[in-house]
Amino acid sequence: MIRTFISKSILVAFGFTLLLITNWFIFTMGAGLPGPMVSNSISLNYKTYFAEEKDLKHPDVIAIGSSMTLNNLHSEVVINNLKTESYLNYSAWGIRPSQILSLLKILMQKYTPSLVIIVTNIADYQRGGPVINESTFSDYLADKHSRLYNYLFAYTPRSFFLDSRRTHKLRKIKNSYESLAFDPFGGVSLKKKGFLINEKRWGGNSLKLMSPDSINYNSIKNIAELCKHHESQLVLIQSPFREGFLLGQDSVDLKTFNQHIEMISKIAEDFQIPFINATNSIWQDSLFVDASHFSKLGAQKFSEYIFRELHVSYPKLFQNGKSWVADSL
Amino acid sequence: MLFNSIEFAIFLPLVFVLYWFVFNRDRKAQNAMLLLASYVFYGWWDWRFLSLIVFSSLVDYLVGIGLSKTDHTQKRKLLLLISILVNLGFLGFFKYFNFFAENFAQAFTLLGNTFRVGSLNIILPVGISFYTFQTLSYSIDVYKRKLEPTKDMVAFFAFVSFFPQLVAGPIERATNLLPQFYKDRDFEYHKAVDGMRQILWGLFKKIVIADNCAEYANLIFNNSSDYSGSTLLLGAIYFTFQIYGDFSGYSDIAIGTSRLFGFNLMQNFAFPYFSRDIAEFWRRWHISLSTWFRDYLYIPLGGSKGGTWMKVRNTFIIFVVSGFWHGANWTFVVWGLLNAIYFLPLLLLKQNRNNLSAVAEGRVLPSIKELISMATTFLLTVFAWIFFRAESISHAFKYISGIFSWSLFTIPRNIIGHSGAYILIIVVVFVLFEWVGREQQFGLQKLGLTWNPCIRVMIYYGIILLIIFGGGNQEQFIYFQF
Repeated sequence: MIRTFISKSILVAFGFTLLLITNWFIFTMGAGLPGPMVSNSISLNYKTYFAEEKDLKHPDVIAIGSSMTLNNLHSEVVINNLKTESYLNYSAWGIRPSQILSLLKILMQKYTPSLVIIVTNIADYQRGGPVINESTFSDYLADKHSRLYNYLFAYTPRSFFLDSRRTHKLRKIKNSYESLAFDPFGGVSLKKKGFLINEKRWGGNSLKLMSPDSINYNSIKNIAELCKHHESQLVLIQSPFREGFLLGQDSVDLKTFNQHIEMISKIAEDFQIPFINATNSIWQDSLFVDASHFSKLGAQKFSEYIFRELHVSYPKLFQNGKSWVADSL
Repeated sequence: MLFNSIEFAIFLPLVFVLYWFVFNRDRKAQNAMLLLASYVFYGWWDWRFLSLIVFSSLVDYLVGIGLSKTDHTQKRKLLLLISILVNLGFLGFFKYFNFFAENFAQAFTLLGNTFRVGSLNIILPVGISFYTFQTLSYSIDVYKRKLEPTKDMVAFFAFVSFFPQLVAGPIERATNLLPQFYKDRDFEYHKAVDGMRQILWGLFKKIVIADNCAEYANLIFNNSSDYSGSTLLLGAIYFTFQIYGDFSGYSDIAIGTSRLFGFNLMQNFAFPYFSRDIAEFWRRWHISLSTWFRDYLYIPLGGSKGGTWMKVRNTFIIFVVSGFWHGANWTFVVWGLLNAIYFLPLLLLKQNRNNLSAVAEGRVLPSIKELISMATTFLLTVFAWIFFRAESISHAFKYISGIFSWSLFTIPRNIIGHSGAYILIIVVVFVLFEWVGREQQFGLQKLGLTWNPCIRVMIYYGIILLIIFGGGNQEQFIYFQF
């Protein structure tokens, strides 16, 4: 009797598994698995998957941050200027400096980049952002847990199915904010053509609504310490807003913004970090897809600007015509 | 380890195969294997607290041996006292220390004195209230000579820590469960299939009903000042189904799992929301706890044999103690008191044993009178659950005053979106299933047994799909905290 019970149970379970696989196939059209669940951000999870697939043992350069780093840093410009293809853009939507710190603490255990680039704007310094499961992330990166283990134990079947479908969809689109169509280095260039400009996002939030949190400024200081400890050169970039957005802000709003810039400049000065403030220049509306995200062309021009400024202001970074020297400042 | 986790989905088949195929020749080996599995199950949460179970089991085992060797009344009383002090001592320390310390300090402050008591950062061991009561039942029954003390240490330790019901019941009586460890167990196909159906139904109750209702109940209770009276009432109803789905779901999984191993546990819930009065509700809700208090507290206090005053006193005592058993918070005490107040008129009018059989027995639909009685009892319990769920007494009163306002007569807003409507539909379908199965042990027990097997399997698949895709965010079982 017990054998009948077991064989019937297996039969029912097998039938159900078949049903699930069929469902999964229909849901995702058989293409695509989500990233390991290391956070509640599908973008960061998939970036972790991407980095693993790319299998860079020791990338020389890591760019990390929010969509400001993800979308506004043009990968080709970066590798051409740094003369290295050992580059990984580990950015994900909504990542704040406090989360960059958490990620870097773990990433630095695995990777030993000589250069870390962080591109932010004032909105990144607000409270919030994705929740990172640091122990899961750490275990995953240290190869303590396989991806299959993560799929089995970190996901519920429902979240696995939904994330599979969403990841698959976002990997294919290039004209949306939520694109996960990474270039070979992990960056995403937003295609202006066919981009559905969101009126609200084009207008952007008023600067006075963006209240930076001290925890994020402190995190930048801690990141600077961390990079110094690992002998990595940190570079901070302030990403600009489109021209029309800044013109629409009143003096009170701009005061908050200027205070923010002063704060970052002060940290950069104290910790001797190269800091490029791109808001010193004017950036035409045509280069953007909203108030702060560059289009592909905009990202290219912005990235070229960054390296021009770095060459002028921090020439020692690019000694001997070969990339840069970590301790040369 | 949670029943609704992937770990348990691996653990259960593994233990099942080892139990029936590797250790099946020797009952003692099976018991030892169950004991080990139970400790792994419990230790998965926090292995350090295994020492508490082992110590508690050892004390009661030795007390049992001691009781078997003496007829001296004073010595027997002393042994029982040791068992009670050790078990309730652990419970009191881990569960109630901070509560008493804080209230003691507050009472002194009210009297004009300053008295500072530092609270301890105590972790409440999962299931301590359950296994403590279970092991106490053994000592008391042996003391009262209702049960022969066991000399089989492994069987006794396995009885105390039996994994299906270790952390949230049913609280088994030693007279029922312990003898099952002495007998050889044969695999019974129909019992195992029935167990599987009960597990499936329990998972449905927990994941689809309770976890979905929890999302809305939490939202409304946590932001109660923002919502209208009608929404607050809906929030209380969501919680009413959350706690039922959560706790009775756990019991169903526990009972079903036990059946896979050839054990029979007592029924813990018998469709309580179809009760026609509050006395019937308490005969159908958390039966293992209610009967525990009846047997080991109410009857020793004199039960209903004394005069009216004694009956009233004893009733209030068991309801208040029952409330306090649930947690170290005044909200639970008020919840218990409120139920005692509901119960009192029935007791005084000797109407408390009117409804002993299932409602509308042998009929499809209830009569109008039965329907009104059920609706009234249901609303009374909904009202009482507000105290159970609220953060504090003042929160409960604010919540209730929010309900009894003109906004009670408005349509609940900001809550009934697509998913809110989905949950209400699921709850209605669930209530219908429960109604159809109300004369059985659980809602799904007999449903579709005579139908074509293919249709039956499709129903199972439908339920599993709902569990996987229609469940809420995974929530801890509520009763784990008790």
